[in-house]
Amino acid sequence: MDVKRRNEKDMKKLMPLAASIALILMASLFASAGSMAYFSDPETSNGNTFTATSLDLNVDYGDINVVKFTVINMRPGNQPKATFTLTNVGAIDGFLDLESIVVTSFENGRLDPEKEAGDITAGNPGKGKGELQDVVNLRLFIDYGGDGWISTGDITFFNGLVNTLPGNFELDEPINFGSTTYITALFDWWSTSNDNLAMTDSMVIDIGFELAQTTGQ
Amino acid sequence: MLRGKVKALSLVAKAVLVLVCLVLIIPGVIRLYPSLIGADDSYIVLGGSMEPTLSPGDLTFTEKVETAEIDVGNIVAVKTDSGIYTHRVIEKAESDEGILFRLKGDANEDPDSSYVNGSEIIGKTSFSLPMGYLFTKTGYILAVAAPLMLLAVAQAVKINRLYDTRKRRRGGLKAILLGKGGRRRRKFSILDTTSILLLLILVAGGTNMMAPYFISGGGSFFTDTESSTSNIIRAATWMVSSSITCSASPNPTVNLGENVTVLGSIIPARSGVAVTLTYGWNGTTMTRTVETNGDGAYYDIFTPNEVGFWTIKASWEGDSSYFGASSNIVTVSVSELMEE
Repeated sequence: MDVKRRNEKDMKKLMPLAASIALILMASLFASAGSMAYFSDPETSNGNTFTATSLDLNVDYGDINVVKFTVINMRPGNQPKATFTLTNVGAIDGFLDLESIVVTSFENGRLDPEKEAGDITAGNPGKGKGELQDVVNLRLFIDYGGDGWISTGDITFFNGLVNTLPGNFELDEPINFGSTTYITALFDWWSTSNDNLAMTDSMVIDIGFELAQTTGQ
Repeated sequence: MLRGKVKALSLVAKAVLVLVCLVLIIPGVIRLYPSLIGADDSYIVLGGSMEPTLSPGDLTFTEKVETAEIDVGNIVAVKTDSGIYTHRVIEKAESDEGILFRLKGDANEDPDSSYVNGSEIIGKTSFSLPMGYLFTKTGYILAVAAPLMLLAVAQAVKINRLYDTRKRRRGGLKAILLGKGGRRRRKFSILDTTSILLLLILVAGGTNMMAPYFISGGGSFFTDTESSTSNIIRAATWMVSSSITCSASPNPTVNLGENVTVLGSIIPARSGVAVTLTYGWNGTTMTRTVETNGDGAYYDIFTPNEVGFWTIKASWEGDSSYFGASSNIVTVSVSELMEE
């Protein structure tokens, strides 16, 4: 009897402690939920990333416009190329698209061999009247090694004459924060019978690189 | 005196706790029932692209409006294939497909790459609550860290008193939890008003902070666009081959003293350029120069002064665009005039 009473007494003694601990545990549960939300690394939820930080893309290690290539004496048989280094310097992952791709041609005056070849568009600079984009082929590829050449695993997303280049590519290529990917533009001027048409002609190529938090933007 | 002050202070503290509680609970309730404040939908902002107007975690409330009523400057929620997001209208354009909108996140350098159709707009953001504050350091401390700490300290003090000072009164669990029974019950109740309020704050704070992780869409999204413009490829000039023809008449024989007409043209036509004609006889040569006309044609009249085989060749040096060329050699046989 005595032992039982004492046990009951001890139990009663412990009750407030147990209740208090239960209360604090319950509070901690919600507090840790809040803490998890507060401290968690950026997580993807349904395509959106919840974060208070930002997304920042660098092209060739900077935020300023990059003039990537200036080829002044392109001839049939030449194969110039340029590799863009695209780095996600923000704090969250992003998806890369190419957009606002614009090719502007210039005639830069017609030389006799051009006329001879049948070039009927004149002008100097003759914006929109050049023929270079009709004879030069372009290959655009995600260049995982960044070596400038199409290697195993690289993804070629365009291969055609420059004049068929679309205005944008929804690549949805993921670039995790802190990571770098490369896109190489490989131009080929394979000799054709129309080459003389393009003599002295030029083309100005503008490319926009968009890093977006979601795909489909 | 002191007792009164403590009581007043305790009342103020409780009032503050009640206020914090309401600030945390009310947004959670109207998020679930937006109609309570006359809104149609509520969204939690998930990204920071609308900073500083909207921060991640902020609650926005939208009302459905006619497409025509949406103007430049409005913040709208849009439903696309990739989810729901909230951006500001910066351009409104009429098209064959209806009214199109160009949107942009305030913190984004560039507009969204594609236009959205009026039908994709869920509603205009009429009202927002800066619940993203919870995710700032002070917000986190106020709603989570401090209440938990206060609760822990309060409970520790209580337990300490309970066991060490032997002020516990009989009355069982009921008395301990609710403070009923016993004379000095208040000091020993575990669930006093302060603790309940602190617990409520933690429940509301934690729930609000977890909410963004359990909902779909409703975010805004970041983009950053960099460009590479003015990349130039310019074709060189290069020399193109040409050819030149040459013929003589009469041919193949001519009488001594008769004129020989030599003619031909440069292909492609080069006008006003010098063509060198080389006449050879018996190892000696003589050159004459003529100029092409507008069609690139030239001619020369020549009177051989010796009997025998004469060779005639035309050539030009070329110019900035064309390589020079030489014609085939034309041979003319000159014979003595036969007098009969």
